[in-house]
Amino acid sequence: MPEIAVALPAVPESIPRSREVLESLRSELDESVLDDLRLIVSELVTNSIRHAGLRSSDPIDLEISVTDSTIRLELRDRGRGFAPPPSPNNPFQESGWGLFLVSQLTDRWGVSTEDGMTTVWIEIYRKPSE
Amino acid sequence: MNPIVLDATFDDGTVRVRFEGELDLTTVPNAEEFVSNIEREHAPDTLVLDLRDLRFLDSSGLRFILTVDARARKEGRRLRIVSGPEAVHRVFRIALLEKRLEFVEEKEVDGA
Repeated sequence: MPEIAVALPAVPESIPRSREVLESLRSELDESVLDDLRLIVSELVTNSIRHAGLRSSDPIDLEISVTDSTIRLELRDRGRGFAPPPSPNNPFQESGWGLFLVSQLTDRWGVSTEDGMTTVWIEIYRKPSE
Repeated sequence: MNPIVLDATFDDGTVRVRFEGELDLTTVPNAEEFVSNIEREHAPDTLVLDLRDLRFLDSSGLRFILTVDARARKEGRRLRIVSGPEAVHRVFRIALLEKRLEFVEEKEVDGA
């Protein structure tokens, strides 16, 4: 089962780059699932770059694993943590849209902070037909 | 490198802006400058954003379009959006914005 692990610099150009990384999953996943992942990874990397207060030399670690049952994507950075979990009920606020979209496109997601590292992860359950 | 191509067509009081490429945090500043210059310099009655050649849009692109919409409402300008491909249009659908914005089919705009 495919696994991807890349380190991206904390610069805006890593946003389109993170979407390109997903191309290696093209043979494994349906185009509609790839569309979901492109949007999710774009939102999470954007969030990291806009809100984590990183220097451009700080890495953002992106890991994706695909099993028969689950697609899991993790983004880890040395940022100052995560804004309080979003407000999907009030997406009209300035930064709410990105995480609102993430919450709509995933089955589970979460955030954790440990030893100065913040990890945000998402899971998508795969349908048997895929 | 994540280029975006923007071009504008002027027809009486209508300006049509075509987007080709991807709209995210790296390309929104170019799009914002292009569109706000047109609003300022040409003061169109109707502004059409043609998203048919847009391949990707995320919440940064969504916020940009909402900003253009807010300015249009404030300044009394009509904003019409030619729907993009599914990967683009579904972002508006998920965000429940299909009804808030005026989406049109290609031929309606061409015939206008």
